[in-house]
Amino acid sequence: MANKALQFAPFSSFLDAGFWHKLSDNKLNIYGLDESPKPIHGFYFNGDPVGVPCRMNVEYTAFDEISKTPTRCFKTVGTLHNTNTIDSFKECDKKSLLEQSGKQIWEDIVSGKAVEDPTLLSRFLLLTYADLKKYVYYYWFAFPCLCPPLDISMVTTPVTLDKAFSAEQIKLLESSYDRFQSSCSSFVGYFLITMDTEVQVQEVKCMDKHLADSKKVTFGFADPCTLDGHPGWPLRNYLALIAQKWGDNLSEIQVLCFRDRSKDGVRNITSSLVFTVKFTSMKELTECPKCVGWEKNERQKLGPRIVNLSSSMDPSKLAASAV
Amino acid sequence: MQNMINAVKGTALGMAEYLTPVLKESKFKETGVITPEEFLAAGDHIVHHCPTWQWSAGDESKTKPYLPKDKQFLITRNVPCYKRVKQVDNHQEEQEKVIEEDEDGGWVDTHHFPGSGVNATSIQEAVSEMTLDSKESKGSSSSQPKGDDDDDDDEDDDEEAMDMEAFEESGMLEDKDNATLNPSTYERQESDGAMGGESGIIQTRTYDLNITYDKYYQTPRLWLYGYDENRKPLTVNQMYEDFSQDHIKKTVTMEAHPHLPGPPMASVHPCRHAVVMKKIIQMVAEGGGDLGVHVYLMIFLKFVQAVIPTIEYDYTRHFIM
Repeated sequence: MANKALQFAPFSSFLDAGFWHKLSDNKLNIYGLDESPKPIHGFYFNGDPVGVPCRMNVEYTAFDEISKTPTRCFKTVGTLHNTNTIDSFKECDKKSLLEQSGKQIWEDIVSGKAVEDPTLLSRFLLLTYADLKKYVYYYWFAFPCLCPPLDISMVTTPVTLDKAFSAEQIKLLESSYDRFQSSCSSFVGYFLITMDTEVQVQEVKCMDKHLADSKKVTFGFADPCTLDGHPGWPLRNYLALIAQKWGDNLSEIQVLCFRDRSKDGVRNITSSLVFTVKFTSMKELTECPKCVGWEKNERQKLGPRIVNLSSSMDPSKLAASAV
Repeated sequence: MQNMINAVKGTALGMAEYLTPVLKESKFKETGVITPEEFLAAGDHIVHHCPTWQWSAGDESKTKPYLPKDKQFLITRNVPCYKRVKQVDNHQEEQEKVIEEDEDGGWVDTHHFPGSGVNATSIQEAVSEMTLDSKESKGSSSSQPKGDDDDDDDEDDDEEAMDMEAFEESGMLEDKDNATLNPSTYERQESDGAMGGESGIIQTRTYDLNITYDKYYQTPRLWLYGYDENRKPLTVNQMYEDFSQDHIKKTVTMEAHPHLPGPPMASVHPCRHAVVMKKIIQMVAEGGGDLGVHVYLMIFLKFVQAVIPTIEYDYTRHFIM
């Protein structure tokens, strides 16, 4: 049987209205005509109910210097490119912006920085133009991902956790996961699971210790996707990291897409997916692999989105609707 | 009109809230009101049992001194709302009975004495809705929100949609990338179950829900902000489609959020909350049960469901009434 190529559910951007308020404020009071890139941040969550898109949230808190990621959510590192005119928004070289961002991820992987702090794998770009007179905002997200030279294929089809692990193991995994997350300063989206006599969740950097017995290691990540046949976007750069760092020692790995749902006061991690993938080493790669990730718009075309907040921000419209 | 009165009242109460001393002693069993400490305890309880609810710090400039800095209010994001209230009208009445009082002043009192104007328009809406119903149940994936021809933004939206095509780019790598799943092929049509076992992405409205502590009424207060299928903020009129028609503009008002920057948000006005909570607590007491204050928010979330019957938030385990 031919192995099936692995497909990832892309991130969908979710912005709250408060973000545009803060951006407008910053544009007027701080940035002025400054178009230089600004650091912002967002987050994703792995406990959404079935059917909800694989979302990344960027909120009014995105501009805070010290980011406070909500509990149980996973931080993403973003760069805001706010342009002054609609023309520079349109003409800006999106390809090179994405390449730069991909390069940064690649450098962090090669230098080992991303092994220490895997959050660096979860990057995003946000290109905006704010028409402050009309309260209309143009925006385009990119969630950069490094593409391996050859497609990654699935050796086994994804199964839910309860089919791959015993009830006992699931319980141990859950408690070990909680211990691991509470030992970190904020929730970490990428980790290792070792199954021996006991189930242990560990940091990604511990992989070096397990190269000899790599068979019992499962690569886990917090999965914002809710589909039962596909993993979410964060796995892509994670696999790139694994292929670059340990690709020579591993060719097949087991992956756990960790989904941490709860409903009616009952926690349920059994909708997590487990499968085995096969990939080629990226260790010998001297150049940064190609990078994809611009988000498609409502019509599934590569283009920006637009949001019109005049009905809730324009003082004259607000006054009219108050009567 | 009621809307305007509420708006004026809102401003006046903002001032009154400033002057009201913070409640210290527990009175929740006698009166249905709670102290900030009790709000905190009930909040911790709900966060523990329903991790979809989280504490939030809010905007720093709006921090309230009577609550811990990082536990100012509760939030749950991205709650799906698959149907408009009109599509599930029967459900609503069942909900009403649970909390209805015998005399006047019940939670759903507005239902019994609707102003003649309100009545006429709601019938009109119901009629126009009937023709839309069959269309809407077939497919919800169309990009344009339907059923609000009175909304003057529509024209602008269409114009923009035309303009936006000029921004689309071709020849980008993304178009050729095999490893990117096309989520639109996984959209689930609610009416046809042809997808079998495979789950899909449902194009649906979503809501962010907040519970704040209202210092004036000394009760929790629910706030909502909605997004359409394409994650654009809903207009006020669109959001009204997701509130029980009996509560619109009476118990549901648009006001500035006490902790968040941004536009006014829809809120369930807390003026009757304490009375209803007291009633429920009494009902439980009569049945021999004893309610701890920690379950206050769970009961609260259950009873506000009468206002937002189609928003599928988690209010956790069933408690015995």
